[in-house]
Amino acid sequence: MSLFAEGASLKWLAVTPPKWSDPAQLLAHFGDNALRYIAQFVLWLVLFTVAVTALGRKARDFVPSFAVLYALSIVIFALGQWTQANYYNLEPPLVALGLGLLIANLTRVPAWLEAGFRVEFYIKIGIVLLGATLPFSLIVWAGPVAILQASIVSIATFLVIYTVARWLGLDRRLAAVLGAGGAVCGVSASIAIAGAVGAKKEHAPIAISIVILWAIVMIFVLPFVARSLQLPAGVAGAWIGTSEFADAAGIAAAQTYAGFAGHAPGVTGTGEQAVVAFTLMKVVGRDVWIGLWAFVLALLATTRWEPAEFGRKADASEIWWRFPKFVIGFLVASLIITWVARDYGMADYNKLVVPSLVAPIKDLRSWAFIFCFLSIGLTTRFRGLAHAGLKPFAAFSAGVVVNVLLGFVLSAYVFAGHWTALGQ
Amino acid sequence: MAQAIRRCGVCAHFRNDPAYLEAAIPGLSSLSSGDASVRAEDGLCLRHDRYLGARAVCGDFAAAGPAIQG
Repeated sequence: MSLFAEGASLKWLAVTPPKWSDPAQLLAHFGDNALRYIAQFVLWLVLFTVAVTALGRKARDFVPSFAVLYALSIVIFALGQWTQANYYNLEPPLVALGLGLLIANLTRVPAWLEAGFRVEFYIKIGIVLLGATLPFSLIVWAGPVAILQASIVSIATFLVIYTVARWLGLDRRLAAVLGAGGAVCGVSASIAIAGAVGAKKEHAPIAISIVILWAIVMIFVLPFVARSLQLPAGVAGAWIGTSEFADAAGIAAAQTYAGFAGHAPGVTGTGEQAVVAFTLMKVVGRDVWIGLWAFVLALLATTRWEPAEFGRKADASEIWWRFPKFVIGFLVASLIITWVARDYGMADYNKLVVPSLVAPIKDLRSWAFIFCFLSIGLTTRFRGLAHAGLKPFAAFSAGVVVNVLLGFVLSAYVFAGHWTALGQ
Repeated sequence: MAQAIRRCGVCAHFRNDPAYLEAAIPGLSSLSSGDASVRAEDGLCLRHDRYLGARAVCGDFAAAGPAIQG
């Protein structure tokens, strides 16, 4: 922000590979801008190393790992900028995910190299940077509909998974962990609810394995089905936000659809609409309520399911302790950009603020998301997942069907006008 | 007071270090992480094989170190 206030620009640091059709163009770009890439790498490295060290991780493990991740990210980013990339469906999120999955599942990645593959870390930084490009008024305008739509789908999905799981004879706590994983925020919800209800050791890994499998499948299914239905970008983003199971996987799907907007036949709207609609739906509509889910389920677990065990009591403070704090960063970033741009009319905003501040932040966000997409693939080893069993898988899958269909009806019909008009 | 001191969070059977949990819970590091704030201070009880909040208590408490006075 201070760079903008002083009349300078983040543009120099936020370098990205340009559109290219001939590899010689690309090589010339890297030759001319090598210093900018080095500076950007150092910027990321310093910021991330400080953060992971504060989290108790070792800098000496993180630094070489992130260097490898950054080098791979340059390749992915450059490939996505190829003028024929869209024609061959080489969307950066899908390429990053596919490459990561191949490396993780077909080779033996040394343990020291994994320290930098922090999916959740990069996705949260990307979402905070997304907040820094959104006027706060847009969040206020779209937030209530996102909360309403997401709540309808979350409650329906949870009840379906929980009911089917109980009908199949599964433990109440496993049913709750599965239900939250499908209804709220995937792996994070599964682990949060496991703690809230005092789940058995094996419950969380079962739910996490199923969440990961479905989340990976949906990264590919949702964008391509939405494209075949020619959904407007905002509508597709809302559907993905309602029906994907994890933030990182959902951003990968939404960013893929963003690549279709304006390129694929019949897909109207802007790529930004897909990403923003997804984020509002997933983050504001679903993620922020995990503490409330945990409190209610803890209340049930300690008063109805096993009142005498472990002397536990449901505590309303859980709502705050489990609140995903990055959402505060997302909202504060939006408030800051809104305050910075408060004195600019639309013409000056587009002429001055967008090129020197908003566009570079979007470019930095793109980097953070690519780090994330690669890390998803590089940390997903199918052979390392827990064996889930048929009954938990069936219960969760019943919720997937309801979640996807209900999310589609609400996004493409009930609230279609709202999501089509997002940000316009 | 005694119950607050004897809670799971300071029990020798309890593990809630993020790195430990990521190694112990398959898939946790794939789409999420042990550092997520939604996890609060929950962890694994190796005595009962349960995933519990740090404020839970039970009769099998074992002091984790000399600083803990049961």
